[in-house]
Amino acid sequence: MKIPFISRLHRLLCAALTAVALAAQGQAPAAAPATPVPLSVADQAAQLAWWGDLQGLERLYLEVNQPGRYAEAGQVLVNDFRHHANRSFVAKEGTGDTFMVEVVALAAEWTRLRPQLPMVHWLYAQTLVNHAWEIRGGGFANTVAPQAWAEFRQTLERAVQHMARTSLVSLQDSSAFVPLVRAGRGLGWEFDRQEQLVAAGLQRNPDDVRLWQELVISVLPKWGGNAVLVDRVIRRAANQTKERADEIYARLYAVAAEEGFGHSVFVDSAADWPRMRQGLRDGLARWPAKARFWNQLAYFGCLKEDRDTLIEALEAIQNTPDLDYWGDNSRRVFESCQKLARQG
Amino acid sequence: MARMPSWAKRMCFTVVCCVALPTPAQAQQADARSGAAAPTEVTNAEIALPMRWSQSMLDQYLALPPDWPLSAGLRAQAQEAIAEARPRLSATLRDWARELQLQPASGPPGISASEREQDLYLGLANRIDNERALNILDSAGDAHEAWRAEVAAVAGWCGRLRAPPRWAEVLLQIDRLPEPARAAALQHERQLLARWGLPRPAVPARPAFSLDAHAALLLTRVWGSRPDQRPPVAMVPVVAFTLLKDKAPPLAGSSLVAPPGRDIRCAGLQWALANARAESAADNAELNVAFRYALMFRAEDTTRRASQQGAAASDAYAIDYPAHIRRLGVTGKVQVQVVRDAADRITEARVLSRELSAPGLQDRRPVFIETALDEPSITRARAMPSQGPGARTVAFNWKLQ
Repeated sequence: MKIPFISRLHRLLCAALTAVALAAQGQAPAAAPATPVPLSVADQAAQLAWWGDLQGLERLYLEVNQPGRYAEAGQVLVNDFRHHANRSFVAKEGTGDTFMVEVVALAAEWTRLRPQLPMVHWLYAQTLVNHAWEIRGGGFANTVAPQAWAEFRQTLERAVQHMARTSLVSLQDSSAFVPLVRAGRGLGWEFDRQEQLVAAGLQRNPDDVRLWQELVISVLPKWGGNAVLVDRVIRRAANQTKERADEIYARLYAVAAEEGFGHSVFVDSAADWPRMRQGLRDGLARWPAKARFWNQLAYFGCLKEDRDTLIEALEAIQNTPDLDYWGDNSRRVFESCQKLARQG
Repeated sequence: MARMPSWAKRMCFTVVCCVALPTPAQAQQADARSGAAAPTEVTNAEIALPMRWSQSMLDQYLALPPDWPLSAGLRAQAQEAIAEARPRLSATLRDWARELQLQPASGPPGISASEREQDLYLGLANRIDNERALNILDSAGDAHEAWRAEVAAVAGWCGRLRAPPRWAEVLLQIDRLPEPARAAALQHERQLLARWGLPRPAVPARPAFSLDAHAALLLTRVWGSRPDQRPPVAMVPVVAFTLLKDKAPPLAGSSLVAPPGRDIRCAGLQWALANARAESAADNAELNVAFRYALMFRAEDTTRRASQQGAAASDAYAIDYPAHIRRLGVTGKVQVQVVRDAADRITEARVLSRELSAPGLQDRRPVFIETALDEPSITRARAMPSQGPGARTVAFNWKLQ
């Protein structure tokens, strides 16, 4: 049967329109497959936790919780896992307490399903700490309701008691000591007690610098500490990591700035800029994720008015900052630093 | 009145009847239409375009995404299975195209050539989608059912699910099995693929237990303040976030509000399944079938959001008769029962029976569209004036005019 040209044209148009209509329903022909890019540990952990894939989390944790495994910016790889898995177990805007009740219950279920896996105990304790802080809120102590204080403390106690009850398994890994120090800080434990926990964690994994970071936070002025204590902790941490001493020094003072001293880190603390600068340069030489170190060199160089370092680092980042490394009010700070660099 | 174009549908209830006049443009189009008799023979050239188009749907269905995290052995075996099935499935499409082209036009006499053509495309699309759904429901026997039950509620494999589903979805489940069990499991799925387009007597009947309705009940318990009534199995974060964010407790007797995608819907259904099992809400075999019925591809999963947006812009009837369901040509009867308590509150609203049809699905079980008009019928039944406490049954006849 011969089809007239007009009829064929009509059919072509009709087919095209129908295809468009059905494509809008998600039935478009398959596009050429893109080459898959392997996901980072951070992305994998975030995705697995979000979908509640315990089997996948277990596999990934066992893979990354090995000595000598580092992420591209030089932090221990298991810390990437912890940070990004934990993101799914913190309060989400608009979900109120109900979301946290669910995820606490889920983490508790996992401790029953895999009692021999230290990771699930870490996650449960960490989720309870997250919930406790959601109950308390992030404001100063005088903004917290009396009932919230009681619930805050009870929830932190639950985390500590769980770790004590399951200590034979849960305390096998350094990870367990991160939520424990956080709980201890909220419960107002003596600094010595927190220090002992960090020491115990470092015995399990000396590369787990996150533990030192937690200890630095615990001795910040807002937690009842002071600049002398901060400096003492940071120097001790640096001494214990000899080949990376200056890098660790710089990393920990960066945490002290981010969590407490802010832009006044060279005014209110004993941070030694030449040593920090050396540490950041060491990191630059040692680790593939260069942007982090260049941003920090620019930011801290600016705070210390070290124009040479600032100019060099701004050139390296091509004046395109990663604002995560520029502290509070980061955009404004960056612009001020650009001005400083331009001054003759 | 002249027949209205198939793309400008209006609805008519047996209980509440709404008749709309066609727009001037539609009337003009209808007047200009000439009759077109059904052809008695079909050439390859005539079905070349619909074939090419439906083949691309099939290719998408059979595609194995390279970024899916499957073990290498399973991926290779699956590729082999797909290569084996593809020629037969393509031949089935050609047969369908011929059959639908030759089919006498549905509807009143005077149907135009372009409407026939649209019906052909629609018929092919509906059949492909119906087969997708049947493939999920079908069973290769007890051993098949056993491993499906084992992995159904294991969290983690739902994240890659999209609408419309690919055949390869099932590989995400098979990959959760111990390595030695995977080859046999894949063999079961190959058996189902070999039944594509053929009668499927092993498809189980729709169970009385609905996981959607059960999920809604569970949600009311999550929102309730009594900790002893909390469901025994907790939600995974993505489900907790989606179902609890900015939402109020669901209405009693309503079904689970469809989340944005099949991936999250699947995770929500897993949560409902795990709880139903933990509390023995139904027989295990029934629960497993209920899970597959809830998870399969349904007409209402196609373009819900698009149709809701369209409804606001086009016409008020679309609120009742969703645009995407009308576009698929779904018509038929739905019977709904509404139960009111002594205080005249609705305590239950459920579908008692359905008898639906759509182009391409007249002579087969239309699982793809079976529940397409449940929600609009329930919504309409809920909105009807009360006739006092007790159970009342209402029938709706959904027609495209």
